[in-house]
Amino acid sequence: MATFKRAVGIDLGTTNSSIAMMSPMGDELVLWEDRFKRKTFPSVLGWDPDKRAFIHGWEAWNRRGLDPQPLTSIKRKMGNGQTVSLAGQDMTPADVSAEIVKAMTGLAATTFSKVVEDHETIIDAAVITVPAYFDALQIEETRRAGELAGIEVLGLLQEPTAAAMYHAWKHGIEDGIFLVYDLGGGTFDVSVIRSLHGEYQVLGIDGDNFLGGDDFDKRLAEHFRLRLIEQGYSLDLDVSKSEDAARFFLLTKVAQEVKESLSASEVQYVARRDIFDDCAGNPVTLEFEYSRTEFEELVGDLVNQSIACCHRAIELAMSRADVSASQIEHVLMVGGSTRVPLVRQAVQDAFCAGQTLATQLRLDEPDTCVALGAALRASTLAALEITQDSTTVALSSSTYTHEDSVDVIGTVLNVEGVRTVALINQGGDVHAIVRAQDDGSFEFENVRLPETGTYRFTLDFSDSAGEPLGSVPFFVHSGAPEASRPTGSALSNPSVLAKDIGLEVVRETRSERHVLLARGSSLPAEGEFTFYTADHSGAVILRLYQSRFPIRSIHLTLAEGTPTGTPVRLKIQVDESMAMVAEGEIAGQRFWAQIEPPPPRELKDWAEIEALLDDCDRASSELWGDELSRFREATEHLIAGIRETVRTDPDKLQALVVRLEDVVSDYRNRDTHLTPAWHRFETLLDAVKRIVWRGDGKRQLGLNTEEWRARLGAIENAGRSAYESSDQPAWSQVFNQVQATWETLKQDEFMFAAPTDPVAYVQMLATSLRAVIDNFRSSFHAFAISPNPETAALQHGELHRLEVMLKEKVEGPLALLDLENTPPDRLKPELDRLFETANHLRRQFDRLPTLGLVSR
Amino acid sequence: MKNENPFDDLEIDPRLSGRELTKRIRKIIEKAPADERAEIQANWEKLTLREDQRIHHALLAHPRPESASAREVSTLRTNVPLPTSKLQNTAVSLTRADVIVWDEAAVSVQHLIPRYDQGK
Amino acid sequence: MSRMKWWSPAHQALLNALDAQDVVPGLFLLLTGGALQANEKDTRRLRDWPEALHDSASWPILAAALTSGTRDHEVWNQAQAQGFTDRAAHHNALLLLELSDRLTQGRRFDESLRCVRWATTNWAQLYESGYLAALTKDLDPQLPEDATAEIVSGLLCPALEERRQRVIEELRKSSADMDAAAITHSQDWFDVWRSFTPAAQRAAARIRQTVAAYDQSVSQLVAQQMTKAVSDLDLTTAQDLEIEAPLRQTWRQIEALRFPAPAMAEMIGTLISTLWSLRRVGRDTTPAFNTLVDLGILLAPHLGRTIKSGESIGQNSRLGDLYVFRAERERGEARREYLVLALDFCPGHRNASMLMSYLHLHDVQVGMQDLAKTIRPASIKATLKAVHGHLKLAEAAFPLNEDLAGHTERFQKACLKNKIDPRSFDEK
Repeated sequence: MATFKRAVGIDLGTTNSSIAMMSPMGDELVLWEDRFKRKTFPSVLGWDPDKRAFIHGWEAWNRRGLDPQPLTSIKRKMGNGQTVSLAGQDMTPADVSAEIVKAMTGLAATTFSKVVEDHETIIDAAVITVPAYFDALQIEETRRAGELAGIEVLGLLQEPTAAAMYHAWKHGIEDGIFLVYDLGGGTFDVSVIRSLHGEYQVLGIDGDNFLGGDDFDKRLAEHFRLRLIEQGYSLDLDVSKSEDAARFFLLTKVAQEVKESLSASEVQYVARRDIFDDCAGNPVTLEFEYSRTEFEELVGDLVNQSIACCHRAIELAMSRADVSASQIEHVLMVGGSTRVPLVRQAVQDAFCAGQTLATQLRLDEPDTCVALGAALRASTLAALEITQDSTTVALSSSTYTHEDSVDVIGTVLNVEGVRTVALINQGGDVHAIVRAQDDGSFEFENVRLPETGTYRFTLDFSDSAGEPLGSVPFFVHSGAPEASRPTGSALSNPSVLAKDIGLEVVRETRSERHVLLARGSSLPAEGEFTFYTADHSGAVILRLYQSRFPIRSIHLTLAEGTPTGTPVRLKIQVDESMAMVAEGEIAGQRFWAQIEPPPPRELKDWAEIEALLDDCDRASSELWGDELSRFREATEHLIAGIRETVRTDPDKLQALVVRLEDVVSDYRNRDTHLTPAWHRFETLLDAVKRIVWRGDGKRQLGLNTEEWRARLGAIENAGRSAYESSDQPAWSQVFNQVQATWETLKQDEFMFAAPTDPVAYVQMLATSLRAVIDNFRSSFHAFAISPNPETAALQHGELHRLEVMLKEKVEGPLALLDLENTPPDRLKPELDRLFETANHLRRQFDRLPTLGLVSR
Repeated sequence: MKNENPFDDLEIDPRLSGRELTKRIRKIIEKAPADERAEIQANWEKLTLREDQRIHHALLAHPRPESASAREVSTLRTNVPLPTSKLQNTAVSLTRADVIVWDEAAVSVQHLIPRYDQGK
Repeated sequence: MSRMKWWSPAHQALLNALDAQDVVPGLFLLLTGGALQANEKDTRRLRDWPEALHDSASWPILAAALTSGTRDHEVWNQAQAQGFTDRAAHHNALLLLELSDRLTQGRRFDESLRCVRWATTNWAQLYESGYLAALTKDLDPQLPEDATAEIVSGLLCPALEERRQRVIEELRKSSADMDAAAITHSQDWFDVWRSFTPAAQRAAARIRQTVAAYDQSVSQLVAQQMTKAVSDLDLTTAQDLEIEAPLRQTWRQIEALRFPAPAMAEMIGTLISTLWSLRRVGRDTTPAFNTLVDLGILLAPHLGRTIKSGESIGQNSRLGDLYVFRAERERGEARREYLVLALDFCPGHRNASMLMSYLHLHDVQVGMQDLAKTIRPASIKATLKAVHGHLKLAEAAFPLNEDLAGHTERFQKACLKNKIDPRSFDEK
């Protein structure tokens, strides 16, 4: 009996998982199903105290609410460094997932073996899917789960891409553009994917790691809780306590059932007696009617958030590939939570009502298409291995074609001395014969398959003397000409960067985020950049961002006297699993750093969260117009989410708090003002105009009035455009030009001006200098030190130095001057010197916010 | 130029349509060693992500019709059919081009050739 | 060319390959004056070129050149004059642009400029004959007109953009590492594109824009770096070398860039304000002060040229200031020369006028001293007339000159003593 070994596809979902495989004939994708024909495997790990063993899937699912509580939704905990506990055992999320994978692959091997009679199937390699928005740590933990389960992980495929690939394969769509809306239990992903000449490209991507069906459940559960309180139950729950967590969990279970029922009916009569005891020990009974309309009102904003993500993904597709919404042909709904009627309606309204070429949603196998797509990908990444007796062949060519011929390409893995390979057809005749290469590889080109159907061939291997060394059977399927089945090849690179990677740089005196690798770039991605040091702080801080959130700071100390403008070379590499590495060199010093999402920030208690919400209010009061609406848009749903999840979902709460913190600090650091200010430009320009348009016939600088009009018009336009586009260098240039023009023209004007009173002038200088010092002092006190520890350290040092210098070099000498009795012509140069020094210190103070940053 | 043109890099005809060049490059990547695949994939993407980019690169690539194939000279030689004995019955005038192509083979059929034109 | 009946595509492919092996290396040497050799990859890439050249009117010239092995670039000029088919011009245009880059890398600047000039000739042909538009239509018949025009007209911009990046990188290097010759060469390279004006309007416009963007960005970078470096200085305590360094570097950059007007305007502005600052803090006797003035004087003729041509406006007073600073170092005629220059660019320049006025008064003084030594009446009259002239000039230059009154009084006394009416010197 021959054995087939094919890599499988595994969808490790938050609530449910599934597993699929391409058949050895290459004509169908086979999904695992249990004896009840259920095609999904609950992602639940439990413990049976009687058998003293782990239980998985449906078995574990049925123990929910019983002690010990089984572990559910483990996907939400992947990559955040926490451990969980089951029956007294501490496990990482990878361990839990590994158990689930092991159970599934064990069951699947048996099922898949039945695909081809008398042939056994072995599973030891897989492509595992991950949400497109997963970070490196989360992806790594997923990979580890596979490896712990004894599986070779060939790749981690992003879920929306898997769904699109399956769909294109199933319907033979060699060319088409898909919008994939993937709403699972815990995560939401949206991608714009194009199949092109049988290959796949990800054009746009967006999503939310904390948006899924679970949120609907929790919100509904919270609603039930409040209703129960109205009915007099004592249910002021603190979900960080395990008893209250269990209570809330049971409410969530009811909520989930109600939600699912409302998908099929408009109203549900909810009746659950004695679900649990409330905080006062009274048994709780739920009994009321609940309508779909009420549910939709409750969760409407969550659905709207997902639509906003879709629009962002489409915008990205436009900028990357010039593809607009109107070119989208298929809108795919993936994930169990897309069964909710509100979700379907919202997507239908937003994308199937004339905005795209799609007129209706595709709801094809929403729970399993991801696993099937992964199986498809697995079949192209790894060869099909066939073993008979002790001969093993790896067939890398596709065993399916819709043309009338096929290439057969493979390698003999474990037999030495193979020289000749013969392709024998079903009738026993030699169809073709080729020479094997030294490494055992062979290629039959254009093997003709005159009719549609499945063909059985045998590969016969012999040595240089013609003696037989072994043989293996294999199948090829020839489909009808119109039945193309695009699988994609190594050209399809479905992994893309989901979030921009940026670097904080200084430009003029402001900091800005410069994108190094743009989201949507194919992985692996890399870029090499050169920046330049921008100050004398003696240190460089490379602060890297993922989207708007900082992920890693690399702090380098420089040798004393390193001049500004010293090049800093930086190379960033991201591989398919989103593992990021930064390396580079500055002034001979090399650095290398693995970049991971930062460890979870310290969990905040409610007092700190309240303080953050106040901060947010204050920040918004400083904004107006467009900026204010953008700020509101970015924060409103976060604030609402925070108030909600404090009672329902501690993990999500912390995630939202982190996001809000980062948005607020982002807006704080905005400073969009150019220097000098616009009104100074206008003043100078007016002064110039007054002189040149006096109408006294004099040709100033050789130009007549008309020519001046044209010149000044051009300067004014240039100034306006530079100012409006916040282009500081261009603005400086135009301003300097006007200033120089005025200085030239005024030479005439002030030729006959009387000299000013020197004593008064000097007194004024002294007064101004005192004002400058005071101003400076209050700037010191008002200065907000950066929250980043490395920058803070640099800033503290610099502030102290400036304070000392101000005292020693300006204030001190000023105090020693005898202003009353020193003649003005001796005082003036002294005061001028002190002014110059004060200005110099001021310039250094202005650099404090961006200390350590590099410039482009 | 620091950035090589993808058509020149892959040595394929810049006039190929998107579909044809995908087919061609698919064959290239399947035969390529693992460490070269990322670059081939990147080149394919440069030629297919945006249509205007494909045209831009095609305009900046050296024309490369089939007759200017990039295959090794030795491979090209083996593709050239050798002269047959039927030559005897045909009056021909050979040009330098023919002689270049035939190389060693030309020596063996020289006795069949009535005239031999050196120029072009 | 006669072909046998059994000539197959396989024959043609092999022939082209062998031809390329013959022709390509020779043409490389011709085009680059022997500086570059074709490698195997080049030869493979250009397998279609010889066939395209055979079809061109210029082939006999090139064939002869290949036989003789000459590297005289005049041959290519002659071939260009005879003409190339569009397909050959396409190969030429691409190759020559690439060779220009490779020659720049190898610091063969003259040869590089020659190649880029030839490249523009071939590109102009491709634009004007409609070859590029037709090829684009072939590549995608569905493409709308506007999109075609956009792609074709912007085709060469990336190549210019890349060159610009390299110049920017070079300008950012420290003084010791900056390759001035390479920068000047790139400036000349861009000048070739400045005169690229094919009949294809849109393409010409795009190139013009790209060159203008280059001009603007290099000037801006020079200005930014200078401003930053100067603002880093504490002029009350900085050493001479520290004060001189930024402006010296800026001068080197401006010189390498062949004196772009915007950068010169920025430099003179910063130079003058630094000089004034040094004076204010009482450091105008430090050597750096004079060094800066001298740098300004080096800049002056080039800046002056752009002021006169109208390219720079408003820089007159700064140039005036500079000449005054320079004049201060001299006495007598030498001083006058600089003051004349200052007033030429900036008539009514306050300080120049003032100094000029004092110079005239000095002449008055000298004249009055001469008077004391003269006894002949004719000489006395002549001397007094001259003094009168100088007084008038002094007054005209700077009416508020406090010393005027004294000198005028003495003159009038002398006139009285010699019984000459001063009003007789006033010309009617």
